Amino acid sequence: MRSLICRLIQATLIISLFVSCSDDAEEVSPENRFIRVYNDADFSATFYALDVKQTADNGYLILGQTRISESDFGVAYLLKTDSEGNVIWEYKADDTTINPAPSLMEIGGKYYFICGVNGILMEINETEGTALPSKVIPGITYPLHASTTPDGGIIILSYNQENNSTVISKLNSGLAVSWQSEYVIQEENSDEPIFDHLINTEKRLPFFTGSLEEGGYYFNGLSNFTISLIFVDPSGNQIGLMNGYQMDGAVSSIAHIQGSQFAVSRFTFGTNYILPTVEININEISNSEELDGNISSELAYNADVRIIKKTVNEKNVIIYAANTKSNQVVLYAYDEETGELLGSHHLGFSEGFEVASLIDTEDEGLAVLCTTNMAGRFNRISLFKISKGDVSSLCGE
Amino acid sequence: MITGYKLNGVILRQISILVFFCLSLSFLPVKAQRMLIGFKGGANFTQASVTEHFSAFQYTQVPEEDQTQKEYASIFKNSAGTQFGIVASFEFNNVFGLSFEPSYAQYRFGYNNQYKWESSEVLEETFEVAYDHQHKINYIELPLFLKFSAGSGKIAPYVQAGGFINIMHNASKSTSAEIIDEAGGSMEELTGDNNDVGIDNLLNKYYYGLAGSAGIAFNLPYVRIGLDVSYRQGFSNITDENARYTDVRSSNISFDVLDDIQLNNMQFSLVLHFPVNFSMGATGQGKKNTRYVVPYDMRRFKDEGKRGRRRN
Repeated sequence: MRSLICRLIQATLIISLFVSCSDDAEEVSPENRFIRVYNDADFSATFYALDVKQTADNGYLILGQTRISESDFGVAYLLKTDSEGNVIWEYKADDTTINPAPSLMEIGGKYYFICGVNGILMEINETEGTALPSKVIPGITYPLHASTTPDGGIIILSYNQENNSTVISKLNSGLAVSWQSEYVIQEENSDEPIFDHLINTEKRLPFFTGSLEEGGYYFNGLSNFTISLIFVDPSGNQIGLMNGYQMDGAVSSIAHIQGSQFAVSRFTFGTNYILPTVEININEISNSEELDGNISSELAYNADVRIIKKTVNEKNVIIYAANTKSNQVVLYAYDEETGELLGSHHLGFSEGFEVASLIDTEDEGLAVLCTTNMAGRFNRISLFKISKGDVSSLCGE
Repeated sequence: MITGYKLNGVILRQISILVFFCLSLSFLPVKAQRMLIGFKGGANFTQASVTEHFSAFQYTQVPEEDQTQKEYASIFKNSAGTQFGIVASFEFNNVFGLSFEPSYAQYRFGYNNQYKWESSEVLEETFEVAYDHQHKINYIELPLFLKFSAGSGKIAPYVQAGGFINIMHNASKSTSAEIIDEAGGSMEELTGDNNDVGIDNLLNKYYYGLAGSAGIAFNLPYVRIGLDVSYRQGFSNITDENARYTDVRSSNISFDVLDDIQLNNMQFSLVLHFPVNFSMGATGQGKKNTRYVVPYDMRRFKDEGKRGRRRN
């Protein structure tokens, strides 16, 4: 009997030790996966997240907007973190740097953003933790979005209040204007939604710019009576157009896969559609209402959506990040080839999170920048780092 | 620099060596004079020892008075947990023995922290929220002790030393909040929301360390009653580092993320030991002797008791 009990004890302990040593969970280091909410103890301070980039030191450079009493517009706010998301420095601009467009751009190893009533290109000094005007771009007022182009230049979407028009501008690699095109807005009182967007008092509108894989550009801006997705050739001439329905129906995000194949999201009167692979003829006039896709009933009213293309374990996937009705941010992964939904993952809990930016990271993970309401009250910036393993799980691997 | 992982590996090896040392003792060809089984139960207190702090929340400019840091309660300020289980002791002689004491124990510990926002312009614009975080972890404990007894009289003090491996059964965390919302019109402390949620997914399944105990055994006829105080010094991290930021609730200040924690636990137990001897019968026919045999020293106490009564 005693021998039997001894053997049972030994077996139990050996099994315990063996099991404790055979945990096959993903080994995560502090920079692979983290959540950071950046707090400021000032009751009256508000911070809105705009964009994030991973820097050469594997840290993160975050562009945001914060309110100041001297202006109705928010001013630029910058935050530099290390690879684990810990704050290295922050920079609050003064009222000369209002209205930053939600676009951090890396050109020649330097980071820029555009802001101001007149388009001021700001250069960020990572070492000193400041941002200084690099140049004023002529012909640009109220910049709404900007992005870098494959030729090392910038494409900028802006609003001309005087002419009541949308202006698309292309800067070359020397940051000089190559061309500008203007699109008249026929809708009366178009000022109101645009300024609500700029000062964050109402729903932000899905303004964006981008480059086509085979040359040419696209942008989502106000044109005629609607928010329209407009395609232009490399010289800035319009080649195609996808109308929305006033402010109530539009494409909310897009990523060019190849040829006429795109990954798109759109909304119409509050309902959101996800179209992971859709054919769009960029040379014709169409309407976003004609795009059939998956209705995502989980997403918030006219949800903010971000899309990136990514390769996960040699499979090309499309990843969407979007705001949900439950005030979380949801990530959806779709197979690029079949359009099949591979998985979903939710970020944030109860205090309200809204997506601002979704980027790929060096370690094959993801980083998602959000605005949250800390303690349910205070607008603050948050950063979610998602590990490679979590991305694989998201993609059903 | 030794990383947490490497450190855990070193400790794991040390514990493994200790456990196998104890196991090898159990296989020594020493004939136990006594075998006792019984029950134990009592209360325990836990001290959380933080090896590294973590939080999802970070100030961009740390204020002069940072109250967001977690302040862990000292061992007897934490609520008492309970434990109950069985005890199996093998006593090689009147001094040395081996004791295996599997039990089910609830460890409880907590910490406080608070957040405050105040306006630099308007005095009344302040908002404070103070959180009381309480954790309960239910473990199946598997401790193995080498036992040293001082004599075999009616009252026998003893000490034990050994190691333990705990297997987590489940765990939960409750958070209660007190709010002062001056900006909202309140000058008094208001009771905020309470949450009670499972955290099994955030903790390591196994927890190990060294243990020691001391006590007094009262040898009575047919039963030995022990009063035992034991201390467990945890060597491993109870928090699963790989799961730290996996819970969506971690982005909420009422939940946050867990620190790297080692638990030290003090247990006060009442132990009831019953001597047994179910050895193979001496009939020479290979039949099992299932008759209960009172060990020799117990019989001695019993006989002495009878003689004492006759004299009177």
